[in-house]
Amino acid sequence: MPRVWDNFVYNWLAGFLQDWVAFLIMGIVVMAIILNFLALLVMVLQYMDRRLIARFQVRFGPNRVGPSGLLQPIADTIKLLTKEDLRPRLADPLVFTLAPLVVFLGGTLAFAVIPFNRSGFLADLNVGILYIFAITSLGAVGIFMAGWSSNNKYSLFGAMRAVAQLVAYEVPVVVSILGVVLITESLSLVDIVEKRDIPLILLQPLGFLIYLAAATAEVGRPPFDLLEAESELIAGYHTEYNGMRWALLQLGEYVATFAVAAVVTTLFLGGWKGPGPAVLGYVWFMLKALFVYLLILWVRASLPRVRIDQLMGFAWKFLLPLALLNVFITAAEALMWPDFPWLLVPVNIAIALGLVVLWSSLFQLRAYRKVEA
Amino acid sequence: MYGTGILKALAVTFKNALRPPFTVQYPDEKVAISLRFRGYNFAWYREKCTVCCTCAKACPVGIIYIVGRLQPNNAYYAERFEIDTGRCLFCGLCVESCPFEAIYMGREFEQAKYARREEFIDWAKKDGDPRVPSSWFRPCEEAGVETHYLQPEQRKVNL
Repeated sequence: MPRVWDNFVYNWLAGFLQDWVAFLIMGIVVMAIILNFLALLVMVLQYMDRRLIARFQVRFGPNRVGPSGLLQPIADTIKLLTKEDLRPRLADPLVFTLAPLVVFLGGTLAFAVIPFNRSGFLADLNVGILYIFAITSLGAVGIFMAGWSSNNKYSLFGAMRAVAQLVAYEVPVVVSILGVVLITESLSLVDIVEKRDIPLILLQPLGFLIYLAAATAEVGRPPFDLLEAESELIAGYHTEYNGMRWALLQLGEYVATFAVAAVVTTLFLGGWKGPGPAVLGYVWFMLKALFVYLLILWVRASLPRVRIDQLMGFAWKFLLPLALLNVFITAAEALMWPDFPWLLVPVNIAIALGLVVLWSSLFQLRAYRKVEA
Repeated sequence: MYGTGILKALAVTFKNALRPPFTVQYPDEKVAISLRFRGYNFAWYREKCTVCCTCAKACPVGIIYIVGRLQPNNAYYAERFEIDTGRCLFCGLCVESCPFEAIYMGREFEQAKYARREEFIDWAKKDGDPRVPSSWFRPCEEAGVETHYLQPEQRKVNL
């Protein structure tokens, strides 16, 4: 019997229904809740995005619609919903229509296993992390579908870049997580949160940095937004999209970014844990996830877009070796001190800092040979 | 060493986030315009103007229309003094050319009108209206320095 939803609604339903019926009803209800929550959350995130980026750039951002611009996302949504639905004549109709849905699903399905609270999750898979990495990669398929079916060179360029980027960054993402798995000895997200009392960022600072950087690149947020670089490719893979289809693509991007924040929260920041009664777990989770989102936003506001060779060099020459080293170090620690005493916290932070400094001084991009004209 | 630039950039944006926004929210707030702003709404003073038409001749686009009438005291009276600001370049040549300091640039910048004919300023009909003259090309006025060709009560321009 899977451990699900041991809350009073489930218990009440299970009192007079068969277990699997109660499970099904609860599942559908919770799915609806999570989907609507995500759709609303994206509005909030987008508002937050625009306001905070504006503040980083010493301006106001949207502040006209409603009190301090709070109704701006609603106005945007109404505008997008009422827009004419255009499709290029030479586009592949089926794939073109399907692609936004696939992109959106890639981010959304990850939330099936993310625990918002001690019993606040849709499913507790024993291979939760594996599932998340498998399902978030679906977004790249959707992006490639969008780029390919648009029948537009810019879309195709963007899609190609997206796939190249995702393939490169999937490796450090997965390897950087192995440290956490070694410490908690589990792939289930609920177990990972419950296993240790301290947030794992203290034991895995290097893994945290690598995962944050690589996952930002994986969802294509700036400074790694080569897939929609507006100065080179008009809008990348969503050049030909408008109206609600474009909104779905956008929604998928934001949901994927928030999924990254949620995964970071679950793996490194102790998930729902925090002072106060158990119900506050939801609040703690959201606060931590929004904090991580803010970090991603801050980096986005600060750094210019990287070049493609810098992007690839960063993945293969910087993140991957460090992630591998991190796995070896953590494995050695897990062999010697299986219960990870507190003493390891400063040691691990020192190791992380030392390795990052060392590796960034050794890091080199290929020098371009000057071509004589 | 790579990476230090990243930290520097993060520090810059963090500092910027703590600063108040630089934006001036235009219809609600307006920036303080410099006294020497060369802007819209010319100020013309009938009492100083001798209808010599130097400004109309200096104007490169020819948008100043003047009709004068000789009075019994042998002075000219401007029956018409109109500027079609819709075509104005704001070059300021009329102000520079005026030998009696009778025309000034304005200090306004909201020139949008509903019809082209509203861009005509007919200062002869607006004798009593308040003027917002710019002190561009007239630094003495700004400083309150006495100039020989102004009567003392005319000297203090309401800048």
